[in-house]
This record gives sequence, structure tokens and C-alpha cells, in this order.
Amino acid sequence: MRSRSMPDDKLAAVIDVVSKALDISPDDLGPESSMDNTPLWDSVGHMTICLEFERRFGRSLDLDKVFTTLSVRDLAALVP
Amino acid sequence: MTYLLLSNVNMQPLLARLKPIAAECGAYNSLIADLATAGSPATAADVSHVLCLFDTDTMMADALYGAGPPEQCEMFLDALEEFCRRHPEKVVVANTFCLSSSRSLGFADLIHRDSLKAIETALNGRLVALAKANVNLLIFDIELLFRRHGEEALFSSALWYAGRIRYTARMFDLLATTVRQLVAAYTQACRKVLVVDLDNTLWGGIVGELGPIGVALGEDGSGRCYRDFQRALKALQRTGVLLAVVSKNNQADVDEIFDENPAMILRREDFAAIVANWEPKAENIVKIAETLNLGTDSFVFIDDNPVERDLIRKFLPEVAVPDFPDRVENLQGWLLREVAPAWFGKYTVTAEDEAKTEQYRANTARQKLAAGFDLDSYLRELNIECNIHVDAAGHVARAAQMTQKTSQFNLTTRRYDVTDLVRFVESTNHAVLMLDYRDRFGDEGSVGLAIVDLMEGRIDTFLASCRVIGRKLEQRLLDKAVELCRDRGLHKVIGEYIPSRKNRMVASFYEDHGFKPLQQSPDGAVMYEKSIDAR
Repeated sequence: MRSRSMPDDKLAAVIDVVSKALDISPDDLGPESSMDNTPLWDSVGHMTICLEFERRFGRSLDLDKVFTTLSVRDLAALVP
Repeated sequence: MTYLLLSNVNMQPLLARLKPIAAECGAYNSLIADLATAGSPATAADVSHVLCLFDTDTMMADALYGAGPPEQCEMFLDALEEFCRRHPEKVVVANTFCLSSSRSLGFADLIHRDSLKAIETALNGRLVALAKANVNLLIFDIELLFRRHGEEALFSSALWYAGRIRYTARMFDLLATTVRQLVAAYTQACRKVLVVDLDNTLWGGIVGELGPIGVALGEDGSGRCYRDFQRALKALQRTGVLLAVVSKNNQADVDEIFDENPAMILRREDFAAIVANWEPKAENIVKIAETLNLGTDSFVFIDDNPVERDLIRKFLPEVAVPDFPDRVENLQGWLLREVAPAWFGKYTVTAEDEAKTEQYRANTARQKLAAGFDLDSYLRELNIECNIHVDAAGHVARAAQMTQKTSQFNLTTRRYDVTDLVRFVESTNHAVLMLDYRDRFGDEGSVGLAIVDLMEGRIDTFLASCRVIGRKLEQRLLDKAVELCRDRGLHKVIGEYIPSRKNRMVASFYEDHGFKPLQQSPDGAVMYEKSIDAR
């Protein structure tokens, strides 16, 4: 339930990061977008997302999080 | 025109940041192979720039842990040297070797036989020697980025192990800016004049109120900040930047501080122009530009007053106006780390650069002399001495600089870089003529340039520095160009005039010198021809 109450602004900010990193429209992304269901979100795209996430939120991801945080909703949960 | 980015780590995130430059990445970890292999993507004709941005720790491999010599680094240098020699038409950019702060030997590293510090220094020594020997190799000191921002902010740990991305987004931003500034510095697309305000810019406080000795300028407190700022300005001036003052002040107060304050680092003679009055600063800048024979688009304006900065941005939008630092203690660092690389970047500093202010000041003296004479007796009074070199390899940096910077007395405005000039000098089908000039006021160095295609008998480039216009030097240079064509057995010489926004002054140059117009193309370019007789 905790993730269901994710504030919209964090989700919106992560969607913005992902759309810029993958160079796709934010309209094609939602809270449930992930590496499994988003065409350009492959392993290379994921690195770019993590890189831009770190810059936007000033928070560096540990290695485990890089491997396991694979959706917009999971990324939003890491926004400080 | 494509940039190819080669590395030994994942540098993909740099590509988007280099836009609008069209850049592509080589295959992962293909740096050494692409440089060393004939027919690799790096050798493709449309690749104009090859960026070799590598990570040193990774290239060291086991040598990073004291196990053996840095073989990959040596291989990289061998491949780089060979590539630069084989491809003089390509610009190759490389960062210096820069190890992270991880040291397996700890304190012992500095004096140990396997010292990483010593290895890094030796590798950089070889890289610098390569760059000195190959004008198409451009290197930059990547360590400066780590010194300024710190490796914790620039190295990425998790993304390195997850996806071979060595750097953070911040570092990719910095590298993109550095590559741009370096390439701009190489093509000498820099500005020429730095206009500074006086009160609260060159010293603290207002000279008209505090007096010449009362302002903050010295070796202590905020006075030291301004004194170091002046030292940094003086250092820029030595690289060829012309300094000028535009200040709202009484001329007498300004004269007093130059005469009486011993803490002034900058002297009157360090400035190409000093204007202190109560007129709008934009008008004063335009007047200085006219006096120096330079466009205001080659000016940068520094002033602590945001209103003055806004006025210049509004009335002279082509002048670069950086924001002034909030804190006086940051003045020197701001000038050298931000203003200088953004607008006054140079890859080589020539003897002409070092003497530039003197040359412009001498010009003002010549103008005063000209006021009292008719032209011919004035020219005799000057005791002009000219010397024309043909294909002088030692002058290619200056020749490239002249093609990049000369806009007014320039018949074709073709911009060339050092690699182009080397090609012309080495080719037997081209001649590069440079005219050196001195007179009783001083040595101007090289002031005229002609590039002649000896196969076609065509003058590809003909230009002269604005500083010497009106002294009939162009005739001597043109005569020499014609003579070389005659020596080749040619019976005619072709000249071209390609109009630009700035070169109207030479529209009738060829006709004035006995050439006949042949044809005019729709864009206004005109071809001229002159018959030459065998001797």
C-alpha cells in the first residue's frame, strides 16, 4: 500500500527523467512503466536513466539498487 | 563532418551532450584497435574529429595493482602516434593520463620503483611530446576537472560496475564543454578584447570618493582579491587578449590612480584603450572598436554593476557579458576558470599574441604621425621593412590564426586550421606566403598572408591584418604571388573576391591592381584574371 500512495510530483519527476534519458514522450510513460514493458528501456537505456536520476535528485544509487530498481514506481520510491 | 568518440569505457552519455555536433561512438573498448587498424571507422573520410576519451585506471589494467608495466597505455600511445601521422587531415583529441586516488602502495607510492605517480608522469610526458610533434593532436588536462570538482563528484561507482559507465552526469557535462572549448580554441574562434570597468572591478571602492590610495588594492584583505584579479588580467593580456577600460569616472581621478597607487599591477601601457567619462558605456565600446579597427562581436565586457551589464546586453547584444561573481574572493578564479576558457581559449600562443597590446598601442602612435603628413612621406617616415617567407613551416600556427581572425581585408574569407596550413606548406602545388613587417615604432610580426594554388595559378587566400592597412604592403605581397606563378611557367593569375558582411573594403582590390573581371556568380563572388609575361 505504501507505494500506492506515492506522491504525484515524485512520479512526474521520475517520468520526466526517464523520458529525457530515453528520448521518448512522457505521454508514453506511466507509474507502471518498466524495463519489461517499455521498448527503449533496455540495459543501455537503464544506465542512462540511472545517470540522469542521480543528477536530478543528487542521490547516488548503490549497485544493488541499479540492478533492482527497474520501474518508474520503484525509482520514485528512491526520490529523497 | 562527424566526430567519432573512441574509449575504453562506456562513453555513450556524452553523445547527446555534444549536440549540435554530430558525434558517434565507436564499438565498446575499441579505442586502441580503431586507432591501429587500417580501414577502421576512425579512418573514414567523413570523420573530421576523433575523440580519444579514455579512463586511465582501466587502461592501466593490472599495472594499477603493481603487477607489471602499463602495456595497454604504451600501446595506446603507439597507436595514437601512428594514427596522427597517417591522418594529418583529421583532428585528434585526447585527454591526459589521470589515475584515480586509489594507490595500492599508499604512502610508499611516491618513492617505490613501481610508483603509479611516476608511471602517470612518464605517460603524460610522452603524450605531451606527441602533441608537440603532431599539430593535429589536441590534448587537454583532464586532471584539472578532478582538481576543481573532486573525483567523488565525477567518478561513478555503481554505474561503473553495472554498465561500464565511469563518470557521473556532471563529468559528462564537463567533458562536453571542454571538448567544445578545446576545438574552438584550436580553430581560434576566440574573442579579442576584454573591456573592464574600474571601481569595484579592478579595485574595491570608488576612486572618486576614496582617492587613489584609499581604494582597496594591496596584499591584504579584499585588496588582495583585486590585486590577484589584476594579475590574472595581466596574464591574459600576455596571451594576446587586448585589455581596455570603460569607466564612468573623471579622467583626472583615473590618471591619479595609475600615477600614484603603487599596488596597481596593470599599468596604462597594458591597455589598448582607456576611456573614462560619463557617456553611455555602449557608445564608448563602439568608439574603442572603431579605433582598434575591430568588430564589437570580438568584445567581452566585465562590470560589477548589473545595470551596466544589462545596458550592454540590450544595446550591443553581440558583446559577451558574463555575470559578475557575487563574492570578491572568487574574482581571480572566475576569470581564469570561466571567462577565459569560454571566450579567450587558445591552443597555441604565438609571439604575435605576446606582443599584441604593444602593436595596437604603436598603431595609435602611427595614426598620430599620419595626421601631419601626406601618405607617401608618412610611409617614408615609418622606415618600413618587409620580409616575405614562402612555405615557412614554423609559421603555420600564425597563418591559421590569420585565416580565422581576419575579416575585413580578406578577399575570400576562407578559414583554415593548422592541419590545412601544414598541408598547403608541404604541398608543392601550393605556396603559402607570409609577410613580416617592422617599422620605427616596432615589430608587427606576420601581418599579410597569401595562399596560392600553383597548379591553377589561383590566389586562394589573400589577406592582411587591419593593423597595417593603408601602408601599401598588399602590393608587395601580390607581386610576390604573381612572381611565383610566373616562375611556374604560368601565363595568367586568377584572383577571387567573395563578398562577406565585413570585407567590402577590398571589393575593388583586384581591379585596382590591374586584374580584369572574368565572371560573377549569383552569390556575388567575382573571378578576376591578369596576364603575366614571361621574363
